[in-house]
Amino acid sequence: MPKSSIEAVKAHQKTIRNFSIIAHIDHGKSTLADRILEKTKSIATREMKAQLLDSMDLERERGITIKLNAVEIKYTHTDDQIYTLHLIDTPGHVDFAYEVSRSLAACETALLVIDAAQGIEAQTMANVYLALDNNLEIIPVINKIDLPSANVEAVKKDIEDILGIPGNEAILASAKEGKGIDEILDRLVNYAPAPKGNPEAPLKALIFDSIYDSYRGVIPSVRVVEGMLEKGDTIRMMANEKEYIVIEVGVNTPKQQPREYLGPGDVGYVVASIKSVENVRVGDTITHIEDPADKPLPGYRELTPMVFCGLFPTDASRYNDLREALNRLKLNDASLTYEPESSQALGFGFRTGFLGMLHMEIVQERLEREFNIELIATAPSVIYSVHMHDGTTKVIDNPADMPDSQFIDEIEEPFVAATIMCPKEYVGNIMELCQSKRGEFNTMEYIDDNRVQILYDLPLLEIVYDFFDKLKSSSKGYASFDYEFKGRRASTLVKMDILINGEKVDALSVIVHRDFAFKRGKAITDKLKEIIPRHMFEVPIQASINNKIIARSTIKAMRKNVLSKCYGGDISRKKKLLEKQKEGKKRMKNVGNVEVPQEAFLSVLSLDD
Amino acid sequence: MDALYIHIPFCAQICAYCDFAKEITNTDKRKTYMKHLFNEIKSHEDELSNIHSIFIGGGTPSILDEEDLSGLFNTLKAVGLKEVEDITIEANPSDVTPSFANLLKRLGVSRVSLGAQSFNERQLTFLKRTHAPKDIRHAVDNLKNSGIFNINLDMLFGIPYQSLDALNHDIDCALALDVTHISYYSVIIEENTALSLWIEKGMVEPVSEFLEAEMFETVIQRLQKEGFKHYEISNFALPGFQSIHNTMVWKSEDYLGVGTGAHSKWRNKRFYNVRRIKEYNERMESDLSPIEAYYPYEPMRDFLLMGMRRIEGIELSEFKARFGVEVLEAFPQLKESLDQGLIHLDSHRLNFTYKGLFLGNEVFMKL
Repeated sequence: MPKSSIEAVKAHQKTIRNFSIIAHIDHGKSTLADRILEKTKSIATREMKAQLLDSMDLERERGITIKLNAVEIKYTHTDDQIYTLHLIDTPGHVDFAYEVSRSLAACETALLVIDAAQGIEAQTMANVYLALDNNLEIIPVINKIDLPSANVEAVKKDIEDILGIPGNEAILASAKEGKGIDEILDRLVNYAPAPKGNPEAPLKALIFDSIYDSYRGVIPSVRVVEGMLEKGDTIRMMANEKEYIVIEVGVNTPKQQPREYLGPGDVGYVVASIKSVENVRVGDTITHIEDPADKPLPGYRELTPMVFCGLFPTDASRYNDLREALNRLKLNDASLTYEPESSQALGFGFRTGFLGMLHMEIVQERLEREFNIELIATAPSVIYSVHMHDGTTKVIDNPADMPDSQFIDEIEEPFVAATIMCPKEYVGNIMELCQSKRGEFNTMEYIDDNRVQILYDLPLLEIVYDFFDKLKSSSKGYASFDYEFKGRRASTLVKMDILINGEKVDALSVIVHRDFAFKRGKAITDKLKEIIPRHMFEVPIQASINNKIIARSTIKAMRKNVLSKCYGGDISRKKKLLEKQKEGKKRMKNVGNVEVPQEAFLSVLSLDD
Repeated sequence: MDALYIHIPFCAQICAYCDFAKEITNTDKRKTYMKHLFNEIKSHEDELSNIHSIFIGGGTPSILDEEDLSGLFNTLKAVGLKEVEDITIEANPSDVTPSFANLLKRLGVSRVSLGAQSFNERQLTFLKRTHAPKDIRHAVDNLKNSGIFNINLDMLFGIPYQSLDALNHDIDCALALDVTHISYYSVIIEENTALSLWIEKGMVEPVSEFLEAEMFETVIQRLQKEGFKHYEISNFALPGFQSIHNTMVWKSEDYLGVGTGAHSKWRNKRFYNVRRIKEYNERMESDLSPIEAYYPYEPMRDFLLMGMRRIEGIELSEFKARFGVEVLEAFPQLKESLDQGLIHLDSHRLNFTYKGLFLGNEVFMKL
């Protein structure tokens, strides 16, 4: 590249500002992003769907960001200089903490959005730590100052006391009313650092996301850190050494717009006929084959699923459709794993791995909504390391696969380090909850006069089970929660089987702590008694451990139907009712001669025990 | 043999459990409706030569005044239906004054079906009925005095908060009135009724399946003991007094329904009229058909769905004669119901077992 071009790249680099918006859920991140896009006229307002960056329907419905997006904004500042702002969106959920950290690694600056009424929450802290880990400049923004319950001074004090950032530096904003947006843009231009990086150094481009395009393959989103990335380059993914020829580079505005090259600080996309999402790992570094970087950018790690469940098509004939659908989702989601599983009760399906509970819900919902596949999902499980008497270790992600206890030396389960923040009056409730969930107390500190941060180590199993719901109810919704994987610990866990009419139902087996087994066994059998309809015969429901029955409930035999009278010769209504009942039956699974509704397979969750 | 059903969609008050086509309305609208109803009947003049039974249902047909009723019967005569011997009309007990009973007799009504429902004051209030228990007794007396002895009582069991004792008391009262026919229906929670709303909101507790079954058994055993033949799931009659009209419907004979919301099975078609009085009037006004929609006529399945309601069930020879196949060839899935002891099959007929009467849907669902 000629010297003059290099100079142009360097000059451009000085006008770039890369930033993310980080916030606790519901603190108004997406609305703020919308306002920034509007203000900079990045997109015609009328064309803009509410919260454009959250482009999937599901995301909009849930008001959360799942899939990352980056958008290039041209902004003419009051000094008449045109700045290139890259807004890199981050998912707002603990399941996707790694993706968040890689997005942040692509930025120099983070806008930290804090709700003026809610103040600092657990996720706010987690995000701040991630931002600090990535050496980002933090610009605090106190949002929703229009709310009657806003308490700006208290939040400023929090920012100062808890985050150690001068509170008076916080920008006061109301994204809803468009207040504070100019100030944010001004601060980005004047205080946020321009990206460093030498255009003449060997190429290092960070992959922080990818999308799948059915014509052009997997398209990674990248931030160039050093060097230049151009069309025609031969590139290498440093983690897995796959090599590709670049067909196109460009930026998202948010539509894809081809560019000649991407230089240091640029955020854009790379088209290189990449067939498999497996080869585009978030956090990996792209370099050139010739004159490669000597080492990749720091921070890459392989994502491993934390939560597993069985997914089975309600209609067995749609097994191949389900495989195809999972395959399609995986194109865009490297962290989704699946392998065939067969269950006596549910037939053929897939053992599917997820980053966390939200990820699991999203995948299930997309399968049902976008691919029209009705699913039966089994209760989620975590991964156990099972040390056998013979010295071998088995990795078990499906309770049904748990070996017989007589061969087991010890079972290890995953623990997380949990951070819970709540108003002080709920401390008692929350500690009681954590204790009842086998938590190990680490520390507790007052973050201000009113609010407390509690740190616990908790088994992931309990979090997967019902911790979120319980936390909500024991704090009237005021507690916020964040966690990260901490390690594995040995626990006295047992496999509990459920028998319906004397038949063991593999898909209902669960792993429980021995101390909770009786209580949970009773809760599950009682719940199943409610869910499973009456049959023409009595149906016993039993919970057993090592073939010993520990709990039982009985579904009484059916006695009388509701028989409509067909009065006045109206047979149509009768038929409609029969159709409805038939439909209902179709959605059930046969366990021996007992018809079991789908929700039964999730009944081991959300029990009122 | 054909039957004619005439729907009178007016009510003075809407009962908590009712989801039939009915409206509270003023005299003017009623007169307009009756005019159009007469026209609808006249429009079928050519098809009514084989009518053997007429049923005037509702709604509340007893809300009609002498002019309405005379008009109706004159219309029936005008279309050639003066020889029909079986004419039933439904009546709210409090409407059946001596003069109303005499009017019915004069017009040629052969049978009156009284919406008694219960003899318990509180239950009647709960169901939002307008009559009191004494009205039922007076109505029966008045009918008998006028010369109408063929009387049915429509009764309900499984009313929320009804005890088994209360049911037995109801049965005592019904039997004491010395009527020829008793229909005993279980309360069904139909959508879009006050009752379903109460239950949805948790204000009312529905009766358990087990109590309801016990009540049904009580009804069957007590009425049978008093000489009533249990001849359809919900119907009981003294010998010779089974409902001719309903039996024709259950036996898959043709029936024509006129008026709002009326259903018809007529010449290999099934259809029903619009439900709203306003729409019905508008259509008739504009000379348009009141039929809202046709729906599938499934002769074999319908024959079973209706026919199996009769305690006698269906005659195998008749099934074969109508459809050219044996019933088990057409519906081999019935073998499962046989194994479950829900139905009984011998060389002549297929019918429900005693157990099956309680669990009819388990059989119907397979058809």
